[in-house]
Amino acid sequence: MVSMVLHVVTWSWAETDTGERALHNAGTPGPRESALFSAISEARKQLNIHGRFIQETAYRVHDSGEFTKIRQQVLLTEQLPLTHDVQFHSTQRAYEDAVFGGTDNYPHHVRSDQEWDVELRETYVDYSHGALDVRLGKQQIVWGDTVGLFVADTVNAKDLREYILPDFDLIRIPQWAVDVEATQGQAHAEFVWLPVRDFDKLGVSGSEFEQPYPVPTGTTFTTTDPSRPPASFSNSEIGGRVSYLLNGLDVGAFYLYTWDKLPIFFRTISGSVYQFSPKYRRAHLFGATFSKDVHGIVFKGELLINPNSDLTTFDTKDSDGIVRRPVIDYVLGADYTWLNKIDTNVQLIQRVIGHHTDLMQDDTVRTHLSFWAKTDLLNGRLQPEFLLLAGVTEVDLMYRPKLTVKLTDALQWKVGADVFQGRPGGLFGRFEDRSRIYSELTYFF
Amino acid sequence: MRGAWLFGCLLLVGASPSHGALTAQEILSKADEVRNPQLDYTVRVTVTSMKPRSQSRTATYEVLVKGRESAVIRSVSPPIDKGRVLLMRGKDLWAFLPTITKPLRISLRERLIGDVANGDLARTNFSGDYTPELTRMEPLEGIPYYVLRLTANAPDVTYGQVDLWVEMGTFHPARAAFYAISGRLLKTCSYEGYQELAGGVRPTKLVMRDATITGQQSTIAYERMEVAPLPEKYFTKDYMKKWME
Repeated sequence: MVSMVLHVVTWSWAETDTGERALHNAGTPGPRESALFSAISEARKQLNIHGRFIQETAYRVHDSGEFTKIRQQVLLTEQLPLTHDVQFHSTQRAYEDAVFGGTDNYPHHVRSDQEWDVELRETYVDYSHGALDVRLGKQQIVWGDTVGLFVADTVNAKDLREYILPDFDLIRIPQWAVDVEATQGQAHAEFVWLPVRDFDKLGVSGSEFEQPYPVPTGTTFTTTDPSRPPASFSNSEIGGRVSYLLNGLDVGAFYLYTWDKLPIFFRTISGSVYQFSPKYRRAHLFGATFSKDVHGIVFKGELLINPNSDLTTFDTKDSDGIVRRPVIDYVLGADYTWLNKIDTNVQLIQRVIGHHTDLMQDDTVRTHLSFWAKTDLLNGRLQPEFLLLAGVTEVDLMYRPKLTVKLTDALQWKVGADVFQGRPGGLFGRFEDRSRIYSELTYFF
Repeated sequence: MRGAWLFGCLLLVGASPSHGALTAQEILSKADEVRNPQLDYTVRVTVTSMKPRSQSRTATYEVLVKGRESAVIRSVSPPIDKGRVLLMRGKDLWAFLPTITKPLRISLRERLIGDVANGDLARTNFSGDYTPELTRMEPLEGIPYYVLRLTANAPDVTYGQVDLWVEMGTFHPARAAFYAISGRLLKTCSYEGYQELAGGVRPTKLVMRDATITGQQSTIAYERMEVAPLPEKYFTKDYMKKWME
């Protein structure tokens, strides 16, 4: 399809530059040629190509400061209506990170994993007719109502090699899927089927945001790559969501038969050495969402229930180091705009583990609060923004001050800091020595 | 932003043949009919915001309107804002941002771009949001006008009170003044460039001036207004991803 689009562009340019004389020399075109030129001309008018080029530089400020990212990235999107009811969309991405070639900050296997990539991202066909909408192809399927979190956002695998710091559209990994939606009045129903399973990408050992292994501090361990389930119909993922808008109250519920996108670290202990055999496991996820505007305050919430979540235990008597427990994740939040100038959001995020035992890696209840604020200055050209995520029962912080400068109508510059603080086992504290400052220059075209 | 506010102003248009027979509500309804087709329509809106000591900003939107309660606003330019979508259903709003790729519930007071309130941009209906009262009739440059005072029906409406001047006979809105709940004058608006648009003579430009900051103003220009039936599903949050570019 992409090649077809390029073909159309080439033909249309040729027509613009020389087509008139060529047609004249060839005499009057036949009906077939006329129809072809007409179709090409129409496609050229309809084709929409746009994208963005991003230069990202990050510098670690902890201890021996050093560059952690000097990445050039381009995203290109083409859209073309094929018929009244059908539209094609494709996005490609390519990036190269000069921090790997220009420095020796990371080992070779990290360079192999993160130095460059060229990938096909969202590439799908949309069909829309009557109450029915179908999206077929590689896509992001996004459920949920809250800001800056992935609680109900469970369908797509995620690229967490830079933790949760990139834009969310770049964190989600587009997956091949069929997404069928039906809308009737205030009601909406959605069915999804993902024939090709995919899993989270994690930072490898030695990378800036490497995935920590579930071992007590100072423990020696060995591990293998996670074993992936074979591609088959029985290993595909399926789910559905319904929602309804009633007097401004938007409520939704969903079910997803999926894979835990993170590997489960099954282990055996040989002497004092832990041996991990990571595997992916099936998961049944149930969830609900809501949002409601009450006198200018927008309340939002998400709930996710995994009745049999695989959790790590440090109990050496346990045969594989994994126990199955019910886990509930939820977030409650509120948005408010102060003085018509300052947009704010506060959220309570909590994870509760049922039937908890003492030697489990995670606490019975983990609670975080988030606060976000943003405003505009100089006619919208400056946008200061601040995000804080903080643990309630212990010091576990991430704060992200950021300034977005709209240099021109097509050029944007972001500068900011991602600061982590807390104990090594905390969600954010584990990256305390990874705090960084960064610059991100984006050209939109 | 201010352009969006002007967009809201357009909703005010009204007219009355024999004013003695018309109620304030009827005048306001007729003014609304002048401002916008009362059927589904699409229109391209260009908002230019000017502030003292700042560069002016111009943004273009494609707006789809269904009835008096539903609107979709797609940001067309500048490239830096392209792909942003705002959905309004009654007083419920959602924003869709390309970097988040999911619809987020927002309030009327949150801002889509610059310091423009979403309510300014999306609310095209004064009749539903305000209760009108005919306060007087007065001439402006020799032309007689109804002067309506509109009082907000709910606390979450963008402005507490609006004064609207509607030309007698044609029901063309000429100007408006927007007040906070406290009674403080916030903005004024003039309706200009009347010409044939989508089956009626309508204002094609609104000029909104900030009453508190001298030199701060926005203009909203309307073009390519077309009446066309629009499916209900276009105005649902789940359809917003389809508008993304």
